Amino acid sequence: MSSGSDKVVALRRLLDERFPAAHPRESRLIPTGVPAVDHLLAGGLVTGTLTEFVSVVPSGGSQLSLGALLLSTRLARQRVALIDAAGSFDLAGLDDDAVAHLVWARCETLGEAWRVADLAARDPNYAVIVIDVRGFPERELLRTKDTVWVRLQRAAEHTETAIVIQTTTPLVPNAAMRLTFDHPLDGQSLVQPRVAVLAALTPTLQRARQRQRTA
Amino acid sequence: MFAVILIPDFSLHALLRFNPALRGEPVAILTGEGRRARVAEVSAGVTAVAPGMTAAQALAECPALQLLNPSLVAERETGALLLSVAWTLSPWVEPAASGRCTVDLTGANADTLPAQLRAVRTQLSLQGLPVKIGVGPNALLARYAAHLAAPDLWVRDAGAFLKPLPLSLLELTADEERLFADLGIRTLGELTAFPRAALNNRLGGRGDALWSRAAGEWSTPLQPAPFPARYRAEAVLEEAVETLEPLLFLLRRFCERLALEVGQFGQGTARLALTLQLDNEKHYHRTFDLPEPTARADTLFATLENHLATLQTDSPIVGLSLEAFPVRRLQTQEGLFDTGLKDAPMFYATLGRMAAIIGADNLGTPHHADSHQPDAIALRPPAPIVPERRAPAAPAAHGPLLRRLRPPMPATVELTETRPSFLVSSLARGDVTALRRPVWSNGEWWTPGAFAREEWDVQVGSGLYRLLHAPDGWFIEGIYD
Repeated sequence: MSSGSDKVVALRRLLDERFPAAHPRESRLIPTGVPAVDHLLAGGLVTGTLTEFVSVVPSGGSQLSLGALLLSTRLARQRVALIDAAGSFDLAGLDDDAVAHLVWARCETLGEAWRVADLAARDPNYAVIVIDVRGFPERELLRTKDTVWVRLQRAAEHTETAIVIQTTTPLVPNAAMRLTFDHPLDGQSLVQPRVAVLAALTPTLQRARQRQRTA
Repeated sequence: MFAVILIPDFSLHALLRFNPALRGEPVAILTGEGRRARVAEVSAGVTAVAPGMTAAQALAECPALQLLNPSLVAERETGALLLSVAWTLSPWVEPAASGRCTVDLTGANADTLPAQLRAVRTQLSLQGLPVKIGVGPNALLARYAAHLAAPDLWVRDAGAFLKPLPLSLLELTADEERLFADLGIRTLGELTAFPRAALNNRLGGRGDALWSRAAGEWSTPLQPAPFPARYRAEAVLEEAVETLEPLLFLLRRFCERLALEVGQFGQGTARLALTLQLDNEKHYHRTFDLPEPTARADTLFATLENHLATLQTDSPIVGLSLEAFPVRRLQTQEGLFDTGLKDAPMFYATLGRMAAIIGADNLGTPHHADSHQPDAIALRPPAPIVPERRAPAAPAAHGPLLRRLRPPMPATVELTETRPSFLVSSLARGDVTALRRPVWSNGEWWTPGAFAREEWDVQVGSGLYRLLHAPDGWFIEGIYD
């Protein structure tokens, strides 16, 4: 008599054979441009998955990582959407050409941000979608419905898009990867070359769930 | 060679196409008014009801039967769709009443014709329309074939084909039916076996015409319909519409037909004009400029749907029209390394939907505005192609990036020898452990937007902040992160 897990495996195999188109596309990696982050993510952001960047301290380097990601994708000429829930993105320190590939959605509420993100995630034209919900109280962030994450996950699976959620507290239950920026930058970093500041970033990998398919 | 495309029970299927909720229900179309109303067409599966029954008889046989009048809007729109599809076979198409058209296939490639006919059937089937297609050496034989087709019938040998066909194909009058029944003539073959002159003597010119049609003789030249000068669809609604759903349903049908028409010769449309006629005799008019010419019905419909989803009118809608303006589709080749849009219509449709949520002013590609004002950022529409990165002219950047607080957060700052030494705010509180600058700036003193500011970069606890000293106090302007 076969066990329950055997039946699940058999069912998955059957579905694999019968509905090959229903399965997520092959994933690929999109380098972030931050050496430590790319190292932890084994090469970069994985398309078709949610990756969570948690800023535990106010100046942990997560905005700098966003800047590096923008430059990296700009060089690769990939389109990026930034869903900015608190409207806190700033161009200071970036030239206009560095964001020529960026679509910036400046929201005012968390609800707006989720609705806009849901739309963007279904558009195959974006290589990366960054959803920045920092700036909102933790209590409000934790009230986010699970359906938001499920919908984003489903949408990402069917497009070649990597979705990054920048938060201040662990928030995304179905994130494939979760990195925390818990080492604060010191005052000296304000005058150091940005490349050196980036190289000094030491985020921590909290979760790594690689998407696997049953053979 | 000719083809006849026939939609059987045209009035019924045209109505069902515009009322999909009726599909599967017992439905009959009536002709005539009052007591003289008779069943003309009846949906498949209702075997107890036959055309010619009165409404009372039909209801007695099938109490659940829904008796409906033909819809002129549905028939006109479905007829136009049929014509558009027929034009994919040949430019010479003669439309006829009752969902039938004749296509002159002279010059058609015999090898590809079966596939073309299959495509026609598929296109119409996708619209919920059953199709019968007859192909023959002349239009009359093709028409006979269409009536008997299931779903295609090709007439190769006219004589053998005609012989067993029933006389009903000749559309006889009641008197003629009786006469031929008395003569024992039931098929076209039996009629043509009857001497033509004798029939002429009995029935005059009508007899000669019947014999000619029974023999499959046809000499009437085709009267092809001209191509539409304008790609337009319109409807006057039988009942005023107050909700979006029925309006969208109608517009979907319009888009499908117009997309087919404008796409006939490799064209597309880059502009749509929608007019809604309101119950209060006002009109709502809106023109839509598409990002690139397209002949995809889904794209056209999505454009309209995005707009109508947020539209509110003063009064119910009693009519509407939609016009598509054809243009030649762009034939451009992108550069080898250009990364254009994978799905341009989807991209712009998504932008439109996002703009509907957050406002068009809050969406776009950012760039520095031509101003010395702090936080002077402007947005422009995203470029369809991401250009190659230009080497930055500015020297290599320093430090982390600023996450700006909009609006700045009020703070209380304690000074020691004119320098911040202690910070109190809801964001951070504590001694300033590192300090950089200040930077003073002022400008636009000649405008109401004059500014004068003093900026300090400070470290408080584990955070790096930009402090702003303005005439109205101290603020935390952003976080270096």
